[in-house]
Amino acid sequence: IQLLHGTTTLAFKFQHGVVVAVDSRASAGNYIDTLEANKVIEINPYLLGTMAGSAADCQHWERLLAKHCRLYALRNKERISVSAASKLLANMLGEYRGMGLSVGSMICGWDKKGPGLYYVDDNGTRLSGPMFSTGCGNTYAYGVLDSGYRPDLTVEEAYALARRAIAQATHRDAYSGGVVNMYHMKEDGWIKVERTDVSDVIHKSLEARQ
Amino acid sequence: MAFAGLTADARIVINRARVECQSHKLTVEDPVTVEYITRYIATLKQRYTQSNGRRPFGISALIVGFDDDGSPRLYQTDPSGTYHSWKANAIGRNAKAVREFLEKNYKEEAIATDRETIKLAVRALLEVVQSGGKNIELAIIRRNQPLQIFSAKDIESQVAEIEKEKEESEKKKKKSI
Repeated sequence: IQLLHGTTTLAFKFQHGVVVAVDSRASAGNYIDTLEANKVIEINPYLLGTMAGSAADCQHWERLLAKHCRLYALRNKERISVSAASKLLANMLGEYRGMGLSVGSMICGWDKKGPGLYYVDDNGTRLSGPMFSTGCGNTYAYGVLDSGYRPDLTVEEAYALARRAIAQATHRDAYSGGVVNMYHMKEDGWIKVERTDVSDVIHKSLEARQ
Repeated sequence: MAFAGLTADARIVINRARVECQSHKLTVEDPVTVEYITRYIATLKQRYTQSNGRRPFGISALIVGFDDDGSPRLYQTDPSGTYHSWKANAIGRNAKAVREFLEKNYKEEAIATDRETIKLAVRALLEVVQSGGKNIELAIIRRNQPLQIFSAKDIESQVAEIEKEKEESEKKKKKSI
């Protein structure tokens, strides 16, 4: 069965932390289920997880991950590292390999080793890297990200880049849309930066060009 | 890990601890902290005090090492499954005498350098060990370095040095009297 991963999500590390941006369209085939899906799970004040793929699978497994992260903190009296949290998720998904799970997630956080970003998916893949984009709109997002990314972006430039990447992806990808939900992971935790309608972003950039 | 008690039981516990260290590194990508592995061993021991048809492990253990952030740790466990963190401790038949010695002599000057610390450890054991250096084994673990086990020769020379110092301090005492 070819499941459609109707989403665009992205995250990248830069000098001031990690920026995470996702769209908010949930599609069931050709029907738009909701325009306001929440594709970022706030695991704890220092950990975020994004969801792409099957909404049910992502929600279930990432909430289970949140439970395990909390138990880890209680048992070991210190917060779980991003690498450990992503490994727990990857191991959980790996056990169900080949059984039709559809999860493409990015685990972002800030721990003792600094900002962390891992890509985890239903194949059991787990990659650490400075930039990832998932979902069927990811190619469009990569186009914008790759042409505008520098590790020394200012905070505002990074927000603008992430916002633009999601907006352009929703513009071309039928299965992405809605609003851009953006988070910024800093040393003392994440903040929710904004929730901007993609049509506003597109219109503003068109006006700017005129 | 150093232990006192039934050697055969110790081998089982050590094996389980080794497997858990690797398992932890595989699932969490970080090496265990000394506290974590001590807690694991203690939980294992406790389970055997509360199950059918099993007897508790007949060992007390001293678990030493460094955490990832470089801080040194010493933990002691006993057959009941309790564990505590210590600055200095002893286990075994004559543990009480050695512990009393350490309580009196474990001071900042005594642990200021490697040499002084080794001397303190050897002196502590010499309190209860009869034939001196031949019945002592000594190991040092340093941050980010493998365990260094002393050769019999090095231990003998340490013991000889300590006996000489003892003689000299006794001579001084006699002189002052």
